[in-house]
Amino acid sequence: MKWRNIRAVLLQDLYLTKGSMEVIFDVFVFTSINILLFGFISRYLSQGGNKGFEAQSLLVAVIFWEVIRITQYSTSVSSMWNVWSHNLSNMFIAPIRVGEYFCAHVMTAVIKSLFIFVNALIIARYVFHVSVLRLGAFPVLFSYINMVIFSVAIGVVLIGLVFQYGTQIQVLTWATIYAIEPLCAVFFPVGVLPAVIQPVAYLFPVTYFFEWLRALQAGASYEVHKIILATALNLVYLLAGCYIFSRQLAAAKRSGQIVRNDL
Amino acid sequence: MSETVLEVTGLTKRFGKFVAVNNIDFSIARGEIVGLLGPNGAGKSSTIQMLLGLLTPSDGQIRFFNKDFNKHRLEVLQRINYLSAFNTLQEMISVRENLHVFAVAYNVKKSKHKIDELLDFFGVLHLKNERYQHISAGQRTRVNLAKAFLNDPELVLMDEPTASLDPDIVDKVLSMIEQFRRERQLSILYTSHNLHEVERICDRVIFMSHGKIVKEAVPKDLPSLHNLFLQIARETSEE
Ligand SMILES: Nc1ncnc2c1ncn2[C@@H]1O[C@H](COP(=O)(O)OP(=O)(O)O)[C@@H](O)[C@H]1O
Ligand SMILES: [Mg+2]
Repeated sequence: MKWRNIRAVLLQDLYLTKGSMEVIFDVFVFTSINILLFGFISRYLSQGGNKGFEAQSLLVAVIFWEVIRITQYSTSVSSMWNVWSHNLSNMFIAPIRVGEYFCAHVMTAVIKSLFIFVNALIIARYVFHVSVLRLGAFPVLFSYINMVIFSVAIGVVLIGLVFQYGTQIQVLTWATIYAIEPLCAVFFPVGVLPAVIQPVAYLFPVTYFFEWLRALQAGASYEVHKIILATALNLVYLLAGCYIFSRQLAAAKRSGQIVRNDL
Repeated sequence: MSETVLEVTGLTKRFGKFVAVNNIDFSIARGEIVGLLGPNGAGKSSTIQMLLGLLTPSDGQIRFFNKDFNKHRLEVLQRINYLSAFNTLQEMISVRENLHVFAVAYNVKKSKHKIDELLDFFGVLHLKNERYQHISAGQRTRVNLAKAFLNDPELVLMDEPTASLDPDIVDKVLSMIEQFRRERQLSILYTSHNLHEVERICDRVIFMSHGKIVKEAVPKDLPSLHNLFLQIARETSEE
């Protein structure tokens, strides 16, 4: 990996973020609106004698959910901007490794997610008087890191699908995550899901982190071994994601789909 | 004998049962402009895409500068470049920003100066700060030319660079390529389905039809080959 090559792609991402209203809205504006929306919902729910932590947990949940959404979106859609501009071939015939190209997109995704995460923490703290950090710096940071890892794993496979099968399925690169959302127990405990679906929820590493964060807010304990298991599962997801992507890319170069997308 | 910059042997691309490029051999010498001429569907683009590593060949060997492309991919890519009417630059950012990205990727020294110099040469320096999205097709082609020459390539692969341009602009673009080439030892592989274009700028022409090389010629022999070319084109369009 060469820093110069990564820098070239980072630079493109920076120019793109700076120059396009779409990116600014998708990433920054909609996220802030979502945080505000859930802040008001939780404020409403905590009125009239409801237990405060359950209402507040919605706000905490949406903050971490936005981290997942934005990281995955940015990992996948950064390449879509090149596809839409018919510029992907130019990028891939420059002396840059595919690994460097994606490393840059992941870095951009992390920077964006960090930005919206901090922004969300500030909104929660000063608009809704909910301090997320009181749950503990370690759980918050460790959960954040795991949300990012999960989103990158999903993100590379989704863009790989477009490389392999074409832009007619491009909607998957920004919509799939909404199908995963109910299964990851973001806003409610896994126990709320129908019994047959509950084992599926535990296939997603981030489920454990949302459960952990809720347990912390309720003042309950959460088993350490589950956190370790979830982290290990997450790393397996990341490795599997990268492997699947490399197979998808090879298939796309054999079938010619990757150039067809770009014409 | 002059140095070979590209040597292709037995290059083949199959899409399922369909053979798009069928066991072709050719080479390009340093400083030579070779035309790859053929009707739509002849396999020209597939050939170029394999040469760029965008499409995996089913069979055959590609050697640039006497080096196996598979084994020296990045080193080769640093020394070649690509231009096509079908590939444009990033629409949402400016001309200068686009070229800056590639200048970093190609490790161009004194990139600011180089970018200005190339934009000036192709007559589009005044568009430097325009969004790529907002410039015309002809202007895009010139900006793309600047991109294609940014790394001082020894060989440029051009896939129908003038497609979708008005005839008078095509003429201008060809003149620019000719002039640019006169000033340095540059090799070009130039695909087209337009006989006159190829006749004008190429030192040698390879005819392709149905994935195969059917004829090689030099421009002075081309008039006698007009009929052959028309016949190939007619056969193809009748299918
Ligand atoms: N990815 C692909 N999958 C299947 N067939 C393809 C693909 N790409 C090109 N072809 C077919 O291969 C033939 C050669 O295409 P191409 O190389 O684009 O020709 P040219 O550039 O000479 O017009 C055409 O018949 C085309 O339809
Ligand atoms: Mg073509």
